[in-house]
Amino acid sequence: MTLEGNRNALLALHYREGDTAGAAAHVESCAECRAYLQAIAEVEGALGGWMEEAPPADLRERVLTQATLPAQLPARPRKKSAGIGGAPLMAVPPVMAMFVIAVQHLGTYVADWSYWAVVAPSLPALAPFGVAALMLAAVGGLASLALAPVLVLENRKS
Amino acid sequence: MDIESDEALAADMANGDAAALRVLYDRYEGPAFRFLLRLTRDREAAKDLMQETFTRVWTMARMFDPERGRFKSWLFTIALNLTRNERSKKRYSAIHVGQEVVETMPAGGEAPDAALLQAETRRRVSEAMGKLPPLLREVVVMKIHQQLKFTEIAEVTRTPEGTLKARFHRAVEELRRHLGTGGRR
Repeated sequence: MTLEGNRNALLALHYREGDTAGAAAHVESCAECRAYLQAIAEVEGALGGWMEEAPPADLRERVLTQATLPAQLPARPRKKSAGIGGAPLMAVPPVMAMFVIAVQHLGTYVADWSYWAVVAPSLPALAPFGVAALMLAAVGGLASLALAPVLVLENRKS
Repeated sequence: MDIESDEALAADMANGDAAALRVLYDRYEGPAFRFLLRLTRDREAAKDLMQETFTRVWTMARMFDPERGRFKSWLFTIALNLTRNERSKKRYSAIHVGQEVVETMPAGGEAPDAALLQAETRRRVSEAMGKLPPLLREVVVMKIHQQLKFTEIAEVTRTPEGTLKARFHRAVEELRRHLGTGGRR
């Protein structure tokens, strides 16, 4: 056993924390370890009584009065989120329905473009509706990105 | 009559029982105040931090979970975190050694030489503690003055015991050097 490798064992011995039998036996025959224990004791002796002051007499009243003011009621812990709640799921069918209607209207408008007859006559008839769906998805994605910082800030506030 | 445990009182406090807060305050006023005083070495800062600590204990009582640790550790964790926050804002960076010495000088009855010697010793200890890096000072205060076990200090600081012990060894060496009681150079 060397001092460098076992100073933690000496701390355990000095403060009587954990198994100290091995260290106690070693210290009997090791002057270096005894000197280290002596050093800890010296520091403790020097520091003893430092700032051993009583709290001010008026502190109790001040602290307890301020702490329990009506505005300082114990806060309720935030409920842990149990995943997606019911409300967002309820909103899915109407949003999907609105999306389908919007695709239908926009697709009809896109299908009227002369582009389809001239440049891509061989494409299936549903192609304009696919383009309309992509356009709506892109607009929705951009709107989500724009709103994300606001939603994050609102969430932190609550 | 059985003495109610800290944890039971904390549960009462979470239900809005201010009497439970008063009992806990009375149990921990001295240790908490001296803990803050030794960390800050500033009486006014310690008083303000006591206010903030117990206000948080009251308002956050519902957050206390006895399965995660004892009330005493929770209280000291709050006090330590507030102290660290204040230190980062440098609100008590000044060392009030002189003021401390004057305040603790005996008014009379003790021989002037003995009083001066005692004041000089306090000044040296205060200076030595002031020279320690904050993380080393914290572990010294908690171990030597508050007499917490390393397991408790680990709970309070959320730091592994091995790290705390290494800090303690370093602190002992530095204090010996600053106090002139020996140590390696």
